[in-house]
Amino acid sequence: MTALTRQIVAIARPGVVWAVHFIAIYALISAACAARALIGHPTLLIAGAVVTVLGVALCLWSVAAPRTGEDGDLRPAAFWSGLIFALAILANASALFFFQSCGG
Amino acid sequence: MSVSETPTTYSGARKGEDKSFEGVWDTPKGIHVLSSVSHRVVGRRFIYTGFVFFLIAGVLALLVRTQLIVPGNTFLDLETYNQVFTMHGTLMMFLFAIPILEGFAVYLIPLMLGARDLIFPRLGQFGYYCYLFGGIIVLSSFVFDAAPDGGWFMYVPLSTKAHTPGLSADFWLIGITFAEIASVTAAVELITAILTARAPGMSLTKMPIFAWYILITAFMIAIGFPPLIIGSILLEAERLLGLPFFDPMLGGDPLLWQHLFWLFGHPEVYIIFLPAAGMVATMLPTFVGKPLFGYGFAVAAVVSMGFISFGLWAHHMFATGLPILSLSLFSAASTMVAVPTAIQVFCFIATLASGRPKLTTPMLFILGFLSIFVLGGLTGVMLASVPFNWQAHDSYFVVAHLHYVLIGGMVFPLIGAFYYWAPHFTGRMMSERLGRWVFGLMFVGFNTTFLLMHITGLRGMPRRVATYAEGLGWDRLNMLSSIGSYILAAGIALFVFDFFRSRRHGPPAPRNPWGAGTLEWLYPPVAPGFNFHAIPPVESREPLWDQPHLLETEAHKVEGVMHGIRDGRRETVGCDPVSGKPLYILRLPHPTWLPMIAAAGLALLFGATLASAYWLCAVGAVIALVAFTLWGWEPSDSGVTRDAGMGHELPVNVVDRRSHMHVALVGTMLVLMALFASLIFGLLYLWNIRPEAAETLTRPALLPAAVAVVLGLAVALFGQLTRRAAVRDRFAGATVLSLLTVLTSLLAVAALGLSLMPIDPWASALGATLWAIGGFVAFNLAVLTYWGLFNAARRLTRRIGPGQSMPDFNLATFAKGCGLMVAVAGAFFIAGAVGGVG
Amino acid sequence: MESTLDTFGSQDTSNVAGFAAGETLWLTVLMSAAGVAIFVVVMVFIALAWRGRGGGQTWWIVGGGVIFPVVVIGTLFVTSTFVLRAIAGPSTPAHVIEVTGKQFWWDVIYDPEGRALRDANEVVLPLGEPVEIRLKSTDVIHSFWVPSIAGKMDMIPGRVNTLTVTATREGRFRGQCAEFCGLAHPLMAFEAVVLPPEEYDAFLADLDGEARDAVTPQERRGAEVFQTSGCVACHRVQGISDARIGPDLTRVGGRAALGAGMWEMNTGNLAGWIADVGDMKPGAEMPSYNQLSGPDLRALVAWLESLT
Repeated sequence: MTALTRQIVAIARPGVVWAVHFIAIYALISAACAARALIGHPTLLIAGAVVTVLGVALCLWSVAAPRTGEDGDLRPAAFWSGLIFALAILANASALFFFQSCGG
Repeated sequence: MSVSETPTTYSGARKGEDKSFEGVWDTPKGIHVLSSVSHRVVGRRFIYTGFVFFLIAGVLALLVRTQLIVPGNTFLDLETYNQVFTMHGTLMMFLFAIPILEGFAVYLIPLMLGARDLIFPRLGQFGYYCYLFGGIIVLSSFVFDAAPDGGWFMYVPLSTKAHTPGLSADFWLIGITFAEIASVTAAVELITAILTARAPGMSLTKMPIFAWYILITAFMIAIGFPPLIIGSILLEAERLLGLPFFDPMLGGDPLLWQHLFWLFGHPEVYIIFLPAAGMVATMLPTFVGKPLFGYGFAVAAVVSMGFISFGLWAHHMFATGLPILSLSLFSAASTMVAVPTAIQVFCFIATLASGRPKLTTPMLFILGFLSIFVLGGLTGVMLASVPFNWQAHDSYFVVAHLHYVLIGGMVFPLIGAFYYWAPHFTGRMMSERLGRWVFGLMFVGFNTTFLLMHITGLRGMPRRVATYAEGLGWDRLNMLSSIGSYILAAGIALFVFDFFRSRRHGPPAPRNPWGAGTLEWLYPPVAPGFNFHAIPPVESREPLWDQPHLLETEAHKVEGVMHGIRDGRRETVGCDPVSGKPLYILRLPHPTWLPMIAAAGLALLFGATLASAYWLCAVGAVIALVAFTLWGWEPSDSGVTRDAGMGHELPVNVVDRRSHMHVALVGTMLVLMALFASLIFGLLYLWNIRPEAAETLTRPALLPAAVAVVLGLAVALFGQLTRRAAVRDRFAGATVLSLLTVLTSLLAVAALGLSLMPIDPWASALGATLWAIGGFVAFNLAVLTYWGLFNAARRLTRRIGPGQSMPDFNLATFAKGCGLMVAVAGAFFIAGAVGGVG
Repeated sequence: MESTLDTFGSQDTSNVAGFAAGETLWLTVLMSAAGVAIFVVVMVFIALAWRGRGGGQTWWIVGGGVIFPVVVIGTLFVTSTFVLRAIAGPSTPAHVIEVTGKQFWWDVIYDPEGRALRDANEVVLPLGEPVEIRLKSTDVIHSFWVPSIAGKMDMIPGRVNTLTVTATREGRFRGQCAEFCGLAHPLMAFEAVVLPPEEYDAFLADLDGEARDAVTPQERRGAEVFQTSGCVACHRVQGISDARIGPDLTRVGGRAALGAGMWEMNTGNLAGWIADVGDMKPGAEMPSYNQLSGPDLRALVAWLESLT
């Protein structure tokens, strides 16, 4: 992989991580709160916390990506992409921890 | 000028060997202009057709505002009003906003990136006619007095046969789905064009920012449109065949439609916003005289917006009774999208500050965009708050918000873009003086109309009401909004006048009239139809600023690759997707009627479905199939090398993962996988939400499902072996293996069918969904079968010769995708059979 | 009795008469103020940028594009979530009311698991007591919205949604269907009446009894017309008929509005409604009774108006 390819991957990777995390959280909530009630609230919280820690870690990998590349202009892109998605992952997960039940 | 060399080894399609370079690229004359495949022609058609739909939808908007000017008005009756607002939304969202922006992208991307054409010109023509015919189907509902009246969102059960008898909803579902084919094909085409056909040296980081915006938008279309396409097909199947996907009595759920609709509908908003923001990011540096500030930030912001916009769909469903936890999740994701939006806005502001901005007409529209869009974004953040949303949802507050983001975020940049790029279309400048009036009228009219609606909404006026009671506090606000809408309309009318006036009387545009830095201004307007005599190597994002020799020499003398013609063919240079290094010569098709005939065949198929004339459907399908077959029935171009100039000796249509055909195929697989995933989502959703209905479902048969999984893997394996044999030039082996691929895929269809046999699709929504999944996979396998046979036939008739492995190379990728789908579908059937889907 | 028609602010989110509406209003005010302030700041920034102050600075993008939005939306999200918990969190409702949306009116049942008292097109709420409103639909999606009391909640076939509200002020407020539900969607409103708890109990007790007897000869004739002209096939009047296709008319004369909150309840409107409902509310399932003779129509109207 060239340095530029690595940079592009570093920009896109946090997005993919965010997407997987979002789907995981959505699936967990759907599993816990729909009529079928596949999992309980504690499982929801534990699984949610685990995927969140993983997700943030993977995003920060992009933040910390070595910033050597042929083009200086894309250097901040990987950093900010990682940071924005890490924040977005935290925001999505925070939704879980404000409520003691599915609510409503 | 290099002369076409004697193609002793060249066995590819022969098309224009008797012609000069200019002759090969000539747009056909007279009626034959309809057969043109040039992106310049197709792009303009998209733009003009889209604008006509905009004007029609605008007139409908004026009818709406006229009806609401006083309470209890009888200007329109209820039915007409419902048709008018439904068609206003439908035309604006589906037939104006997306197509016109894609039109600009189709027109500008090759010019900006240094390509002679979009790389799938026939696909462009096909998409345009799908769009045109689909739009005509939707509009023709007025003629048949069957205009859709269920809202542009077509919520079930209102849009089911029981509550909307007649054809109005069918006109909508069929016409719009047809037109969406255009959006999806254009998306695949744009992804591929941006990744594989750029000027030498144009790495991804040297790409104009517009291309980044369009690239992300195109990916979003490829993933975002499939849920709606699936939803529309399911709904049409429910209307036409009585399959109970959304029927709560049979284990379906009306909310499934809303999920599928908004899974498309929310990304759609960003799909509309991003290309327009890309236009702003392109025009702004020109008038500031400095490059876009924070290119890297902008790229990161666009990428993050592309992702996050898929996590917001349920904020259109806050009042549907979802669990509070879900609401909270979607609320969080909705607020977070403000971050990439703000980054872009501040990139624009920082760009403004970095030079001396000139207050031209496009610049006025950019300032209008900034102010209106920022306000719309702020109300959007408000709407992400669940409690506030419960009050504001489906009230005029939301009407105000969405028009702030869509008109501010898209129409203002678009009109600015017309002023900016008009010389490209007409060779003349539009009027700066009239432009100021257009902007003034639009800005004042817009804010008068929509600023007040925030208050109207918080005062409790719901949307989509044909009339309202007097004295509740809405009368004066509505009157003022209506007056504002007339002012806005006057602005648009003046713009149309100015456009037509400038075509004849505008001052002729000089070369690079605005002093822009991007490559589309290399030639004096109007640039020749082939875009570039030679494609210049690019060293910066603003080549016209940083490579002064480009503007110092006459445009047709600029040095570059691909000068002249080889083998009498239209061609451009294909590049490495990341570095932009020239990799191969990309042969392009010449004008042809086939795509139009294919689209007409599909139009017949869809139109006849509406008329329930099923034998005509068959005729249409056959016409389309024959046209598609002839379309592909050409000698393969690959297998030779040619001199591309500037020291590049390049292969023609290289066989590689990075080739345009393969990238396009991967793009298409993305669309197909998104379609498949939408069906799987529907299955899991219904299974999860209606467990009691799942209990009673008959189980799929286990053994055939297990066999299907194995066969799926076999399809992928044989596909891959075909590729290996073809690449190693084993002629007979490739033929036999591709026939084996065909055979296993037919067996896989049979196995899936056998597994589903016990299930009655009319008895339950879950059963119907399982059948839909089986049907979708079977459709893909049918395409694979046809393709495999087609390749074998081409091989046997020597249209694919020795050294030409591209068709089998690509088939393998498709076979692997199909194999995956079969295996996943089979796995779900097994799960259903073993665990009981309950 | 004055209906909410013609009353400024009777359907206004800022004319607060419910706990949820009150909490949401201050959130609205807060967010609007913040929104306007941010808008002004951004515009000032643009003006400064236009004049070239400061050149392009990376910290603008970091500050304005990342840090500032994160702080603002973080605050907003937390605040909004606390409001959400307050208005939609677990609660123990003292009363249950079931409202079913129909094209294009509202079927109301008080205490559905107990006395099951039917009424239509008017929802009476006790002041200060939490009420669980169960929302259903039998045809298409409707949405239940009384802006003064609380935000809206959809009524979806095959589902039961609940909205727990607590009225905080006596009075009469207007509600309207907020989800497009077909032809006469704009003509589907209702009234929410907040009564002190004792009056609420009295209202329920009143609903429990049979309809008021016809007194005058004209009213008696009206009752007869009602029973002989086909009205009983669809409408329920307790003690006379038990059909459930159309709105319950047991106390129709006691409602302030007619045709699902759309017209003042008076003799003229009621007569017009019966004789030509297709004109007043296109899409309504009720046929126009224009074949009734003048005296029959007047008698029917008189009797219906007497049903309070």
